[in-house]
Amino acid sequence: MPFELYLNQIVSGLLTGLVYGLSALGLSVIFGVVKIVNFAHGEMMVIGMYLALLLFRFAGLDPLLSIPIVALILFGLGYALQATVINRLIEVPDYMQFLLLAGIAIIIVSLSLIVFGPDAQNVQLSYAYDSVQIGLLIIDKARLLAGAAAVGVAAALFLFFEVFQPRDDLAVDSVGPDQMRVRFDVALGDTWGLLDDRLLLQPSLKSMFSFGLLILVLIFRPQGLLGKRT
Amino acid sequence: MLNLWLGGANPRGRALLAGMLAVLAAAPFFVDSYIVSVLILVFYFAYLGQAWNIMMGFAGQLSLGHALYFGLGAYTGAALYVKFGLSPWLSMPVAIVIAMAVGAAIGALGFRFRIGGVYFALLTIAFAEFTRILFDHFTWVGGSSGLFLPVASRQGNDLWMLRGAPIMFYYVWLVLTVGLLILCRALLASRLGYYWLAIREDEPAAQALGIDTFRYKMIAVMLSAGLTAVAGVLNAFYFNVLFPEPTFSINRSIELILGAIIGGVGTLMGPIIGAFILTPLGESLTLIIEQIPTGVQKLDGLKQVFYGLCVVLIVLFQRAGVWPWLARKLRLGADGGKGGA
Amino acid sequence: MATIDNGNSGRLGRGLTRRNFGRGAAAVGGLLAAGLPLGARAQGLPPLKVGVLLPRSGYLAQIGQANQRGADVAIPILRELGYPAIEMVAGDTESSPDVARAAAERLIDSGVHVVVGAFDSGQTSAIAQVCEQRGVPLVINLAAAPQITEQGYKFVFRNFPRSPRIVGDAFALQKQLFTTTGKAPKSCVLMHVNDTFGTSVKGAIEAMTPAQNMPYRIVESIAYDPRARDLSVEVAKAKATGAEIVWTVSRLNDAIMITREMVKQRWEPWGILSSGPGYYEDQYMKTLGKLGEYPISFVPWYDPQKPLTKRMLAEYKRMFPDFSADTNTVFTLEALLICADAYKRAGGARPQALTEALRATNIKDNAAVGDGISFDAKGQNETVGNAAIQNVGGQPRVVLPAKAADAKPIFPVPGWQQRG
Repeated sequence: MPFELYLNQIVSGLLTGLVYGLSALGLSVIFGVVKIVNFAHGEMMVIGMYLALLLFRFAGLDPLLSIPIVALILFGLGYALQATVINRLIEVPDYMQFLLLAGIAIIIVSLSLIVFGPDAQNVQLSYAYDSVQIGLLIIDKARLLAGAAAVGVAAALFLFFEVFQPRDDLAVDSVGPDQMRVRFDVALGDTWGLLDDRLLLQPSLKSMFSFGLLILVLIFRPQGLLGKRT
Repeated sequence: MLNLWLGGANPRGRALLAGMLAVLAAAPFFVDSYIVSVLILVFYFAYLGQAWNIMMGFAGQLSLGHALYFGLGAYTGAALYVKFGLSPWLSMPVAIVIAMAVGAAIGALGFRFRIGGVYFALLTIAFAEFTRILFDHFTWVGGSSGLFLPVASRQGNDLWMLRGAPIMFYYVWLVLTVGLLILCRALLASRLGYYWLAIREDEPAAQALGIDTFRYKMIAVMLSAGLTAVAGVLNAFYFNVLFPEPTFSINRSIELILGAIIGGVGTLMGPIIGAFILTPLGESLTLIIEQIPTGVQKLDGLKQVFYGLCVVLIVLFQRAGVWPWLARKLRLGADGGKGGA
Repeated sequence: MATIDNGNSGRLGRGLTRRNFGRGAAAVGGLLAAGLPLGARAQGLPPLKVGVLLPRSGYLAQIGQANQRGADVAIPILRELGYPAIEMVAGDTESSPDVARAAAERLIDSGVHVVVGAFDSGQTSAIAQVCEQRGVPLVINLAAAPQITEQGYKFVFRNFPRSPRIVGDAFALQKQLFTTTGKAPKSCVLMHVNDTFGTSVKGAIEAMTPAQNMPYRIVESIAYDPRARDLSVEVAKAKATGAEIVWTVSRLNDAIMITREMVKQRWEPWGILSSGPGYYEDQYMKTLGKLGEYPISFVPWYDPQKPLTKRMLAEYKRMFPDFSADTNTVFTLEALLICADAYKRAGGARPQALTEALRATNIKDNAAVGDGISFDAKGQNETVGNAAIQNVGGQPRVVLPAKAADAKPIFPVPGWQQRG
């Protein structure tokens, strides 16, 4: 019995870790390039989740298929935020950036409370409760799909860095594309959330999101990930 | 003494400060209880903002986990009262020592391993969260069921045991807030203050000048932690109930530094001005939004949207904080904090 | 010191109860018989200003707004019943004790005669202290932490069971369930959320189990973080115990996560028993559909057989067609009923008179399961009962006690795959 328990937990933990890892990658790309810790990252993910939810509800689009659309919209939002607000803060102290993003986070959470209400929203997918059984191993199908997608996007991201080799002096100019890559993770994170149906869009959970992501950045320091700066 | 801490301000500034103090000292006799309770919150944030400012504003070390020291103070004071009937004034030194010890441990880790800037801030968050979960399981002080202080109702004010009406707490907070302002002024004027500013502005240069930066950063962290714990004790006796979740949460850590950042980090008056802006701003927004007739459908969350918007606008347009700008506008002369820079 | 204090208020409380009992009963009886004429007389009073403080934003927004709907639905019902008009002044605690405290001061300064709130035990404690200081009565709608009514407060009343009572009733109802269905499980695994509410209920369960002589043994108790985003480990551990039933102490999110994991891990115990919110909530059933059928919750609830409940359900459906009434609705409604009833008997809103009238409350025609509403010396209503609620056909149904039931219990429940 314990063996079966551990086996299942390790596999499920790895799959979940893939998606969290990808989200952390998004944060660290921002930090690595513009030296800003995005304290509103979790809240921005939440926008992605609501978008995926709306696309599902009104266009019947499976969250896995809405990734490109959600990513594109969030790219636009991220770019606008960058151009209007964040660019003005590149030179100010850490705590000022932190305060600004904390303010943005408050706005996003409260607006989502007004627009969508406090109740949990969910997406009913045919495969939401499916699991794949291989011997003793029972794998959650939604988690498997999300994990696979996470690996795919991460691979694409690394390929991008291999091909373009962003140079240090270009750092600030390459914000746009970086934002885009980040948003891909965002969309993906959302998809995962929606898929496994635990996406309980309560404002209370969002700060925890932010915190979890932050810790991951600490662990996977951007220098370590990109291997460019020391 | 008075001259020392007013040294940085011109006569106009001194007059204004004295006037403000007089108004605040007399306020409870003229305003209703609601205003008193809001002013208590203002002092609470002003005090904590100042305590945090010693570490960040003076010595340049960013902490986003000050709820840790606050909570340790709160739980120490409450537990010693509930279990042994100890007066909060007697448990305060204990709370200060505990918070300083923990601050020292975190500081030592961070500074020895050269975890700087944002990473250091994350370290402080991690410690606060760690302690929150620890207290959730610490059943001697109630665990997640909470620690309740017995409330003796309607028995007058007992300053020694801090049992009594909000007005008593109002004056205790006022005295503490002003006392800390005096202390901060004295610190900045001292040799220690100059070392801190040197470290804040350029640590390698400070080190090159022979300043023991590790030692002075540690002093800042420990001082800040100890002073924060005092607020924790007082707050525990004001609210009479403690739960680990709200006490140690990152939300509290963020909340207690907002005022200082808005007012002006590194300035003497900044944290106080910030508290006087933010808390009344929140309350005014509540009052305004409640005037909007909405019927059954409530506009819950709208207040926070405007609050967040105000914070963002202040950051964008007053990057150094409101106080330096206000001091210029009111022609109040140099502020001590910036003087040393 | 505390003992002396309680003794004093105990004598005071009993004296008042005896003295006013007849008057209260007569008023209620008269109201039932006369209805409108009394209403006309009651209209002679100016409106009672009731401050309703609830966490309508912040992390408790969902449940705070559900509570608020209970207050909203109470206003027209109480008017129809002929109670004096209520002017509701609603405030948002933003899920924070700091804000709750300032809001209570503000409402009292603005002239409210009585305060109702505030769901969460921490915020309720903050408000209780203000009310006690200011001498304005507080009627707690929901909040189960026992300590709140153990402080010797003189202005605080709670018409909601303390957690030990909720658990005691759960044992009794479970025994009835096993007898009625003829199925007695041998083993039970306990899963609980590690927060104020979860630990106090779990503590009560552990303290009471030995004396209860239940057919099952609690084989393990598994705690989880209230912020958990994934309960697969916890559910896997519970499954590994091989227990025949799972008893959870949860809130909404974790209730959904636990069920979802049980389906995915293909674990089919005899049933999910629950002490606390979560399983009977709209969102639970909407999210899980067929998989949300059949869990049994042991909670304070409305009695579907009582006339006031029927009125409440009808009015709720009219005002909030997208939601269904639950325990939040009935206890917030009753809190306002208690205020209106006391106001009517006091014949005015002077705090002292209103408080004395509240202490003498004796409402028989209430909506919750149990023997009506009255308060002991501590301001606690010890007669609030609990019910066993089972989700049947997407609706929470009362299955026990038999007196209040509007459906028969289904136990053991059908497996996940046998639900169409």
